[in-house]
Amino acid sequence: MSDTATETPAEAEAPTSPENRVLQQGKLARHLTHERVLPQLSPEIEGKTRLYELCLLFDPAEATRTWDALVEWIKTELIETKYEQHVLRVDKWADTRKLAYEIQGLKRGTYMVVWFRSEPGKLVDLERDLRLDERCIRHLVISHDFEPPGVGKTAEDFDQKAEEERGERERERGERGDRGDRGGDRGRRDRRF
Amino acid sequence: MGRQDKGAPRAKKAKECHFIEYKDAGSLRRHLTGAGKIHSRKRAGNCAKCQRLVQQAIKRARFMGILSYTN
Repeated sequence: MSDTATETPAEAEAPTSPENRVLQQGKLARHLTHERVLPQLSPEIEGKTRLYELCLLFDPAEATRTWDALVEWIKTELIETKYEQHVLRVDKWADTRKLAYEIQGLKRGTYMVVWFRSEPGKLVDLERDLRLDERCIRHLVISHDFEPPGVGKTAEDFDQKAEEERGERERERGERGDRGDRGGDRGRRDRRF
Repeated sequence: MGRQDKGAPRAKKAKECHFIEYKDAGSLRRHLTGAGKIHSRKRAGNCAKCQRLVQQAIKRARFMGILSYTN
């Protein structure tokens, strides 16, 4: 992170980065102990940019055929060359995942997640380019105050975690067994939320 | 005693109330009804901040086709 070897990393990156400022604020500092995966940029750059997550949805037929070209297009042509911003990481979040509903006649989609730092003003133009391009079916840009946990995880990781949690809950329920007739007045059973 | 007579159940104290991942469909589904609506705050037992985060995450997931608008 630091240019000179004598500086400790903490000193070098602490003051200017907005992300670090957030991480040092009271409660957050205690709770956000997850490992940070994204590479750090120099303090000057981090001082004037924000961290963004861009999620893109593609037609799986198109995406499997031209994945590298798509990555190249988003990363190099758009963000790095046209808008001169900084791409930190590009992931394939899901390969032909079933969509919850049909979008433009597609039942399955391929997701790409791009992490980048950008000056806020450049986003309007970037989003316009994405909207106009026909390869990209949906896109979503999210601004993050700090690097969230779970960067680089794929859809399978999330599904697996959900599966494990469900198993755990079921086991717990099984151990406690049937609670039987609790009897008596159960209170206001007509209460609705 | 107590809670029964005082109307709304108290909001649960959340352990981590800072970030909710919109791509995590499995966790978000626990905050949805069978029809795909978002549970009310009372039903879910969320604090105001958590509920805002959950709501935001679910809406993002719906837009990206990760969760459905209706079932």
